[in-house]
Amino acid sequence: MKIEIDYEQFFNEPLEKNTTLYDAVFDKEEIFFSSPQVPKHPQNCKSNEAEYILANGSVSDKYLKLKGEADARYINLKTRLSSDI
Amino acid sequence: MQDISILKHDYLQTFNCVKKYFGIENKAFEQEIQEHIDKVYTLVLKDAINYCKDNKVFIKNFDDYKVVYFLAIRMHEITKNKAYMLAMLKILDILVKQDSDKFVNEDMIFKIILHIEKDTWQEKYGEYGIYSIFKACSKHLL
Repeated sequence: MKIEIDYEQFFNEPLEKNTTLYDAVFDKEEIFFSSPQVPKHPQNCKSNEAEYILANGSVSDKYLKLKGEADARYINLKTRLSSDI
Repeated sequence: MQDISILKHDYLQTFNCVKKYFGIENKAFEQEIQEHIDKVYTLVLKDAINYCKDNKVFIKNFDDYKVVYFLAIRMHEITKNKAYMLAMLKILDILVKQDSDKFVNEDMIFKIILHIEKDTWQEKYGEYGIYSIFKACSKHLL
């Protein structure tokens, strides 16, 4: 399969001398296109929060609420850590 | 077939989401990431692609868990500030809680923090181990 990628535009850096485009893009066929080793159907791997931000432009109230819970959890962990070290 | 321009746009959007996560943890993180944006934007993209190559993952779009993980590692490398690694754990923990309705097991987090503090996390968990733990938890696999 032929892949056409503008390497310099994609990675924002020039191709090194004596490097073929195919080598430089890390065999992207395996990554972006189907191959015998990988599932036929690509997976959507984004979190629910990322989907929310993409739709609404800012983090959700739920995320902020959970951050409050996580802060408390990590304060406890730091206390535990200081007694362990 | 994935359109590469769609993937590039998706990476930009995902990276911006991740900057917001770090900004909520600490505004200074967001500013510091912005100072190093030219470097980390490309490095994290390469890290994510290398992960896909190493694990033969066929992606439809970029995973914010992965971008959080690699961005924290790169910012830690650049600034030598471990707070990025600890912020990464908290952000991933929040994402897991939202996606699976459960925080990651506290003892598991505690062990990871210990290894980060002792700079032994790479030998303990390998290149992608910490990311894999959180991703597995988000899918109820751990």
